[in-house]
Amino acid sequence: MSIKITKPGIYSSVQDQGRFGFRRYGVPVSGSMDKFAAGIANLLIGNSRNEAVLEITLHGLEFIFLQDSLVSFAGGGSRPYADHHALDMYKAIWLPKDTVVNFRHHPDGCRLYMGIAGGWSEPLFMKSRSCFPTAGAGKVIKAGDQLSGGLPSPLAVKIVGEMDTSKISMAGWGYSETSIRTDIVRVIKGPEWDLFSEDSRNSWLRSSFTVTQSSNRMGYRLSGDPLLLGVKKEMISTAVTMGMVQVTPDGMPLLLMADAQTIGGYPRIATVIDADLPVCAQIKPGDKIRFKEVTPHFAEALYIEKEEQLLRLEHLINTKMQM
Amino acid sequence: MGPTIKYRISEKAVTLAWEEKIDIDIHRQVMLADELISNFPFAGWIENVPGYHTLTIFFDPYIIVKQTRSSDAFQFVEDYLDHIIASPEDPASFETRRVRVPVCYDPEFGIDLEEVSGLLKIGIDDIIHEHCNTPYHVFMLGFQPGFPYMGMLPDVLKIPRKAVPSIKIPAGTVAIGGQQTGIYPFDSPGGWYALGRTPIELFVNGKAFFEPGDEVIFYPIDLDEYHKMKSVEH
Repeated sequence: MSIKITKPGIYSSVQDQGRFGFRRYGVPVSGSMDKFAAGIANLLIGNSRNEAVLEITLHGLEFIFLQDSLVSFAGGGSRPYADHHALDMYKAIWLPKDTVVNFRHHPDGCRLYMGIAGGWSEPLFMKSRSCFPTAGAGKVIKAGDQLSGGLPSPLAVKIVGEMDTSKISMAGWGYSETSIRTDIVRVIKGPEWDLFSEDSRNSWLRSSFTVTQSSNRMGYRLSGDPLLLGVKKEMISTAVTMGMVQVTPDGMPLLLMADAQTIGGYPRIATVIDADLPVCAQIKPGDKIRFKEVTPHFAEALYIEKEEQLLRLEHLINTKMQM
Repeated sequence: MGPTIKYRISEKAVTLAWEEKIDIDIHRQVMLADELISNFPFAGWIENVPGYHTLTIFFDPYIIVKQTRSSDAFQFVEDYLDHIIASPEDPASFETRRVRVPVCYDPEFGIDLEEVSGLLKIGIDDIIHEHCNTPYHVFMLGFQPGFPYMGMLPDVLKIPRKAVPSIKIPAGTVAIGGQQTGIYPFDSPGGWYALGRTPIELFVNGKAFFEPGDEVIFYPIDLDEYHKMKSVEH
């Protein structure tokens, strides 16, 4: 075992990049809310991008290392400390056995990702290690739980080879985080866009919305100007996906997130573009957001750019460690 | 008849939509398209999600752009779908799996039988008879892992959803709402009327009991049989 949880914090769970192939049975995709940060946390310690990470919501979590470990941190909502020393974000970090790590409040963001060399070795359930307790996949982290890292990759071994393993050590290199702290989220028009009244379509793109307390990994309830249908229509339920914004009969938007149901029957005004889902993942209740429309073509180009950014990082780390 | 429209729901998914109604013939076409695409997937295809009158196809645009040299992933998927769906198929050719499901309609489980009887002005025995006497079609699974949305309920059992949903419907509950019937795989809140309970577990170890497209027939069992079957299940 690699760590033992001493304080559970607000909500933490093990997640990989998602559970695919089972949406037709009503099983949500789940996976990290901020899949970009989770991917980076993995790459920094020689893991493949899809390894399981620990998703830590806000502050309060504390655990002790039961063995020496190579880890990394990415995302927001808290900052990791070992005793009273801040640990760097976006770097490979060597933490010796008995180190106690806790997560303190940080104003930016909502979810922090902790990777461990080899990935967290929770059992595979329906081809994924992502926690989704309803379907019997994993459990939410509680005090006393022990988690174990997997087998470090040859790349992880090289990364550790450059470190002083007698004490806490941080790699001399890392990922420089480009700021994702923005309150503007880009969307494409949803399938039922045309059903909304002109006033509501204008409000959607011009006014701001507050993320309410009724927000979790399934979705965020937003409050703002009510969005009303210009054309009344009884909808037949159909597939929905993370990033879609459904509008419930009270006129309030519901932004679907990682654990969202697979089908829905409310009109969908918009879909957040994939490249901006990490922004949504780092928004917390009380924050305000605004939506800006882009073309589907632009959304696709940005998605491809983000994928290439991660591949470039992977390539850079590989190249650096071969020198 | 092919799908009437195609629309994007995100950069990674497109929905094919047939005529917007709940209809078994339309759903058979959805399932045929689902089968075709699963059997002849394109580079970057991830999964399909069948609905009542829709089929949503999920894919990874990055893989499409890299592997097909197409510069526009959505266009690529649209062209692919146009070609594959163009081949006309007889909806009757979709192979239907027939499943028999035991239901205990004892008042202990059928907690809403009396209310339904009052609302629909039909005797409890007739409710059970009508509910069992109809083959149902599984349109889709959702709401919870493994929850089957089945239709069509005979007209005499058509009932609006509860105005105030029940806070906890126990796992296994067989219920009706609108012109549909379903079974709750897990304890949950719900707006449908409970007629009985099945000893069958609907979602175990990551396996769903039903598949979209299944034909389902309910048959009545008594409390003793229910408990016997339940103990075998465990």
